[in-house]
Amino acid sequence: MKFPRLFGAGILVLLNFQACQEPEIETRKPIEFPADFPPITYQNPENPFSQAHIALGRKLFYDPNLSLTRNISCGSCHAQVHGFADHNTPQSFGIYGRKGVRNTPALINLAWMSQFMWDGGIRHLDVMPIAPFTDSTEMGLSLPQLLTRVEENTTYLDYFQKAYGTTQVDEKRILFALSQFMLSLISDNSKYDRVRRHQDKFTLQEERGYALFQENCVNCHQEPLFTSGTFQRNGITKNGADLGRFRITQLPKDSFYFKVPTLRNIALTYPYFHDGRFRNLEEVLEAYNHADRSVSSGLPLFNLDNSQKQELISFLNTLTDYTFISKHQFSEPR
Amino acid sequence: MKKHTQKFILIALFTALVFGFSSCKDDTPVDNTPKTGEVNLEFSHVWGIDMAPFYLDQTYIHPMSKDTLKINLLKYYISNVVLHKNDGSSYKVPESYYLIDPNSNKVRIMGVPAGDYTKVDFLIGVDSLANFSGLQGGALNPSNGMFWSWSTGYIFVRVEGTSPQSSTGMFMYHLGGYEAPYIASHTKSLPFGNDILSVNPDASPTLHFNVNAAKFWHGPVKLGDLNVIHNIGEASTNMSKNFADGVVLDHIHP
Repeated sequence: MKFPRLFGAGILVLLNFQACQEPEIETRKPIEFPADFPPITYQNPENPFSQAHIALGRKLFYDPNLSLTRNISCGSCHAQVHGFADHNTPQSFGIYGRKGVRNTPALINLAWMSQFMWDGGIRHLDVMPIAPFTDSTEMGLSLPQLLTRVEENTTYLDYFQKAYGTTQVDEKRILFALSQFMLSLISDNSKYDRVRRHQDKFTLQEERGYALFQENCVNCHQEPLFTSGTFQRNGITKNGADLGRFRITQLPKDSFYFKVPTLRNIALTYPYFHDGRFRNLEEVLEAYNHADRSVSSGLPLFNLDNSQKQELISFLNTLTDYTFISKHQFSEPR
Repeated sequence: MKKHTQKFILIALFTALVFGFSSCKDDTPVDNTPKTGEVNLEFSHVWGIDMAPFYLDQTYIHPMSKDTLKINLLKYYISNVVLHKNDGSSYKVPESYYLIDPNSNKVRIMGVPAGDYTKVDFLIGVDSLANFSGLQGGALNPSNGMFWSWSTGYIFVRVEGTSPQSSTGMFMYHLGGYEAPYIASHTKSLPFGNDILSVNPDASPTLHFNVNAAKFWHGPVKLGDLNVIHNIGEASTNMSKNFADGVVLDHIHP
């Protein structure tokens, strides 16, 4: 008993020496992009993927100190169990309980997205977190304050050293790491995916729902990402002060247009639409049945009866990815 | 002229001789790096048609609108600097993005190929590519307060201050936009006329510009009608154009 233990310790010591001498070689890819998905759209040659960057990004993502009141993290409103959307509130609450104006978007498959937020105002993932960090209703920090909050926390030193070979904090190092963590949030293992890969079978009800989906939804919710990334009006005529995409382009034709969200994990991300106006999928489908086609001429007629609605919802439920919502690497680090 | 030519031939021969000998001794590579020099850009801020000196936090009366106002913040981007020679060739200063304000109004550009230049081009604002290609550093670092977080893009020109004519007592113009029809960046192309910008390793010439801060209210724009711009659009585009019109080359220090 004594010998093997010593022997084991010896090996450990040896390995330890070796690790000191040779640079660590990463055996698995930091982010596995599914082979049957289109090529990713995220581009930043300055930000090569590594486990160390993702680990730093994950720590930053879940750090409530990165808000003025030290109680709101990215993860506060982007919850893994809800597909990284909020905890089923129509609008989210930031510092001092201040209420936002739109429904928190789910963070799913962002590597294939090139315009962010409901109005598409943000044009690159690396600058996306600047909006919630600096918004006075969300996290309420200036960028220099954000840097200070990271610098003052010594538990970050090791993470920065591992990712960047320096403990120096700057905007790029924070935001590039956050991008890497968000890029790693890939959902590709729902029942739908397994059926597509011939590893599972739809029920008859799901099969019928899939056919209805093909008829009515697929133009905007294109497979396999379940979004076309375009902006659509969805028959919206009344929307208070929120003019949607108009805010970004200042072009009247873009009034009431919003970005098509992904339908992946849609069962978990209720309520729906940009302001969370519909509580469940039945309400959404009913709204599509009656949407004003005079302002959205491209919208299919739907005309779904109750049993068709249930079939379509059965299919939408196959887009829930239980691997995604339970994956340890995506959760709050402890 | 003849004298110069003779001198030149003599120097050339002598140089050839020296280099010839040295190449016999060892294989020290000849320094073929083209000669370069530096060029400075200096922006002086002025007020009104008589080009009175302009200072932050000083009260002025606008010559057209007659509004009383005080500017306490004025910042803008100068980018994409190109220096032109008479022979049609030009030098594009790489990564030229500069954030100018009255307290930080000088830019030093190193590594400009030696020669005589006759014109400068630059953009007041930031080119569209830099606007949406992600997170930038240096002058373009979003921490500089010249970045719209909610609608990716730079604030090209930012001016803020106070005025009793404004309904809120304040004014704040954040001007930007890099996509048609609301483009708020403006190219300046300023020929030097009879002057020449002579760049060589032993000189540090300066292009001296005047920037007229009264131009924001050209038209005249009244503070009682317009005290906030914080998005792209017609107002942003028009005001940035007026401001750009007020940027002129004053003189060149050799």
